[in-house]
Amino acid sequence: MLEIRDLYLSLEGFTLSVERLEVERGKRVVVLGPSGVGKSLLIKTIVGALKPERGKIIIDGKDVTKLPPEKREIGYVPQNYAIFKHMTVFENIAYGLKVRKVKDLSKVYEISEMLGIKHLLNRKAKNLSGGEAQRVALARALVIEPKVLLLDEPLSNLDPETKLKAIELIKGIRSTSLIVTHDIFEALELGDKIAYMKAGKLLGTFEKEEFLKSPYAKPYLEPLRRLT
Amino acid sequence: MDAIILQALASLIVIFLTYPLLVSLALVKPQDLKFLIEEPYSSQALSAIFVTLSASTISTILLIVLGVPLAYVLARYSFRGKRALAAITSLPLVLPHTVAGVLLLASFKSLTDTFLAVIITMAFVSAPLLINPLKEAFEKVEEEELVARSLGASRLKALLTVTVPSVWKELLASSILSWARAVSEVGALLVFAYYPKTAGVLVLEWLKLYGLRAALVLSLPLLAISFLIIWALEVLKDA
Repeated sequence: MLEIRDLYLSLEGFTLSVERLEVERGKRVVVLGPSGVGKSLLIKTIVGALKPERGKIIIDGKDVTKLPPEKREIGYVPQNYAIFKHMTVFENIAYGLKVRKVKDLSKVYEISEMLGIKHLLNRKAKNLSGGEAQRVALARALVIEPKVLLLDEPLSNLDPETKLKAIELIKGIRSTSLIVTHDIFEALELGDKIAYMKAGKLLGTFEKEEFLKSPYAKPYLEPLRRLT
Repeated sequence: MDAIILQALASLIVIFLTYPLLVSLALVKPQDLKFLIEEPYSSQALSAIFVTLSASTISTILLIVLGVPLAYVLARYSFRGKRALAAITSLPLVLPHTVAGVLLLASFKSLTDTFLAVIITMAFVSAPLLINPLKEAFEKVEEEELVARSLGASRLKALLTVTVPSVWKELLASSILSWARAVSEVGALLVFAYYPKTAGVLVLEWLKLYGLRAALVLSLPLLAISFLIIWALEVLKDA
């Protein structure tokens, strides 16, 4: 379970403020909000790249706020997937196991099979398509069995067909996940709950139906209403 | 029509860049090669080329050792005075070369006209060409490093196994450019480290003492080195 309490961060004139955010074990919460409201900043703070001025980040009951990224047990998939291009796909996925000195790398094959990328294992990672890179990044994050999975705009670089496959893939993952997106359809597809963010502030977490009835959904739904 | 204008303009600049090379090569006569093979000219030329190549190589190695950590710090950390530090790092790029020489003369006067002074001058003027591109390269792979750390790697482990291998092309390219800049320096050397003479300084001296053709002959090895550097960078782009 991921819990965030009274988190506050100020960076180059921008402030991030999250009074309360919870992701229950095995659930997916999507942080929705327009571009530039601080969604990626929130993810980077949770993963440990940025130090909050106050507040707590708690994972499975343990306060990880002051721990470096390598001690947080978080799986992180950034928007650009950050594939290690100088390695093969196998080396990418096995990286987390190797730095943890795990000798049995059979999990690499298991997770590759599960995500349909076993045939790519010997390929140089620089030669992957967007959809392939996304699955490799997911496999790399999941193979270490993280307590929390963080996905930053996981569908934004994919074509429509690959996007549908990726939605099914992410919905099949049972890790505790926090996903950020600016797209309401992706939020509705991927999230068990939706947390809405505006101007650096998390305004609340909602059940999906509840969010659709809230005033925050209006800017997203208005264009659809006009069309219909 | 647009394509014809573009091609004409492109051709003009190609002619502008190629013309001095062709004219210079045409001016050199076989008897001028005595400046490269006969004494006392040949030993002067060889010594100057040796000083240039060895000092520029040492200066580049020094810059790699000290500049890579600085580029990493500038790319990864936020701290007070970071902009001032970045500006200081870029300063040698915009300083008139003779001003750079005067600054070095004022700072390291006791080292004037020594091999160490040549190295210091070369390192000073070429530092931005190594540090600035590398800083940008480190910034581009920030996410890769963060992912590596989230997977359990310490900062050092992530740096050595992910960050540095991800920027090796940029490191090599900026090292070559920095080395090339060191080789081509003259202005600051004239002020701070006239001796031991580098090839660039000797070209200027021969121009005054023996005339244009002698200076051109000595320029040939420098021209060949410069061409090899540019060719290496082009090959590196496709690697």
